[in-house]
Amino acid sequence: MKTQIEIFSRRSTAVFIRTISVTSITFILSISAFSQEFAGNGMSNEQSKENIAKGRGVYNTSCSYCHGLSGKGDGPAADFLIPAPRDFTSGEYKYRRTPSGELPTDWDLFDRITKGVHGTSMINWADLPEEKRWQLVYYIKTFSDKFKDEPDRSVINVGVPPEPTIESLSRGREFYIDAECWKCHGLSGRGDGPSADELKNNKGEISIPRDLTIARNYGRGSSQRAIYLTLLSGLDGTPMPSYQDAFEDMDEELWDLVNYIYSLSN
Amino acid sequence: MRKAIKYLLVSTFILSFVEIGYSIPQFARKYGVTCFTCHATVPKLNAFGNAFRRNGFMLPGTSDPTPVWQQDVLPLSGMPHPMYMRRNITNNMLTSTTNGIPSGKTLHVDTFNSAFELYSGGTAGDHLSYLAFLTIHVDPEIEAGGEEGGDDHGDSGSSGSNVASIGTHLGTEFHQFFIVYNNLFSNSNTGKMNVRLGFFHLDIPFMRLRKLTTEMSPNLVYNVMPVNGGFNLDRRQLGVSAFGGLGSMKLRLDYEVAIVNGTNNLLDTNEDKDLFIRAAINRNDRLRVGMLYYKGNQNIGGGSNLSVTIDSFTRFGYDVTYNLPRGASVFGQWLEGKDDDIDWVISGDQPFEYTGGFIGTEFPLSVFSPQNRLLRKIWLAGKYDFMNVSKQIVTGDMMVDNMLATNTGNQNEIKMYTATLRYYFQPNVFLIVEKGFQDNLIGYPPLDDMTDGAASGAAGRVLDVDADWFMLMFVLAF
Repeated sequence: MKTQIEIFSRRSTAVFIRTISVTSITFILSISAFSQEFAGNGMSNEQSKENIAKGRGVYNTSCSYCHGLSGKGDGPAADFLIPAPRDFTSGEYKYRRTPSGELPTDWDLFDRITKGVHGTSMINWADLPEEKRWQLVYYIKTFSDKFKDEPDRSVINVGVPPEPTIESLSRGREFYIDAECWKCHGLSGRGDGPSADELKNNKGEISIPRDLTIARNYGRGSSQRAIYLTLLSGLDGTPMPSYQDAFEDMDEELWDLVNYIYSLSN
Repeated sequence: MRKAIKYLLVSTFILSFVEIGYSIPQFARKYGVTCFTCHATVPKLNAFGNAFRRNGFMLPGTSDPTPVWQQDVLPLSGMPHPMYMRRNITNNMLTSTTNGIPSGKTLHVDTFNSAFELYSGGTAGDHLSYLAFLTIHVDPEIEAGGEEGGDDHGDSGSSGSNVASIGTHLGTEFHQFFIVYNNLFSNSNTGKMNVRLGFFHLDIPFMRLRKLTTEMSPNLVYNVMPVNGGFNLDRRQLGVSAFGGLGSMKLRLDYEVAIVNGTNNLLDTNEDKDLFIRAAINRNDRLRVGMLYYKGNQNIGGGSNLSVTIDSFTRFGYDVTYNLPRGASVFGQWLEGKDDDIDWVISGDQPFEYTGGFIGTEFPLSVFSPQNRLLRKIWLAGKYDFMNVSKQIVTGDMMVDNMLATNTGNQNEIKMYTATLRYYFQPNVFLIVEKGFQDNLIGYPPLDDMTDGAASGAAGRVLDVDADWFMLMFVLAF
């Protein structure tokens, strides 16, 4: 089997030049694209004691059935949910724009509440007034001491997806094999890899790899940018690692992989 | 031929009342979530599902002002559920039953049946929601039955005068149709007080549609009827009710107060309305302790004059449920019933009292190995029903021991044992296997759910007739 180094060394000069040429455009467009998909229009209210108290009321009414009154993910409806509801006391979140190991931003929490997690029991709470969703964000953060000092969080910059050409898909397929995505997600992406049945999350609970051929199963969404973000940030607390180090300075190759995964469901 | 017709009619009647628990995939589609968001397993609701229901089929804490006809998802779910059942009914009485099983004989009935249910539910604005539940029966397609067994009481034995019939009966029935005005005095969207109007099931603690044992194993104490009575506690009622939950998940009072017609049918048979009161304390949605009270009147005269023979009756009971970790639960119901006249045939009032209840458990096999994926697909349910009618009064005399001349001895008690296995291929595709046994019946024959007093002049009395059944049912909800 070819190593990643061997594969990467085969990058053509043409590819390199093309990378440089699109970088500037990518940089500019990414700002607007990012703002459309992941960025919010600002917080509607402040993180105050009053809002935290209100958030508690909203949480107890809407969230505690699954996440539990104490935020440990042990609500009375949690028993049969796969994946299990988030344990907010751990301060560990799957869906972030921040690098693996870092806390999510407030917007990340708000965004997840608003959009839900596809393919799971986490509903999108868009019907909840925006003000209440922000209050929820502030209250949820109180479950973990990690948020206490509001440490700085860096946000992963997602560019504009390149065209999913045949060549890009072909390269992406090779990365899919070499990066061993198939071990969990299977060669065909159906979530039936040889390791699929053995996966557990940090709490020792069943962790099921996504069937990548079904767009609605993608927890964060199945757009190319969402896939890119998942690959870079990883899903903390689950067996899905971050590929930030593996693809450092290899943005184009990462997009190839993104395009390939994207093609599985499109 | 007459037997074939008899079996056909009996089975048609029985199966027309066989409802199974339901889930509504329409809601899962609408919110893009799995069934387990609201169900521990289908049809057993979890705490979130109950909160969703209390809030008028909207997410707890939210309202959905978009009327159902403007939503993207078709507001319709379906559930075909073909089944096979074999029942054995043994007459241990000294005489033949009124419907023909000779003394000491066992009647076997094999039935294939199919039914298709349609559900529609949703919102019709900020505070309005509705639920409709229609059943289309196709039953029975094939049925065969026979009698066999020696006569313990003097008659000669007989081995199987078998009958068979092939036929189709098509029918439709609205099981429920009601509208709800949600959150009457507040905008909390937590279902503190809702008012519903229409044809609905009362908030009985162990409602027939959400238990894992099937309708072949009804909760007996809910189903005692006098001769020609038209009332079952856990069947649909036409009326109006206020219901909701006060408090938080930590400690909540669930309640319902309803005024209903008391007949389980659209048409009332008397001028009085019935009253139902239900209250239950929930602690963390783990422990629930509740009570129910029902006071009603029903015409048992069977004639056109609605005031001919009125049975005034009450039902009063306590219940407890404890939801254990990993989806298991244990539960129990105790209930007493009093009727001031159960039989219009016999002159004078024929008072009747009974006590009883049931205990049971429902659990997935994965309680023994939480991470085992196969075991998560298998659920077991067991229930033991018991009733004591030793306070039965016949022709004005207290019968401390029910010494009906037709019985072989004291037959004061009814017991029923039920074991059910459900295998879930998918949350919405499953197989039900059930085995049950009932020692003594009230009334005969075992129409409906084996306790239909309207079937016989001996209704309301314990009969020395036993029954057991084995059932297979395949369910697909979509």
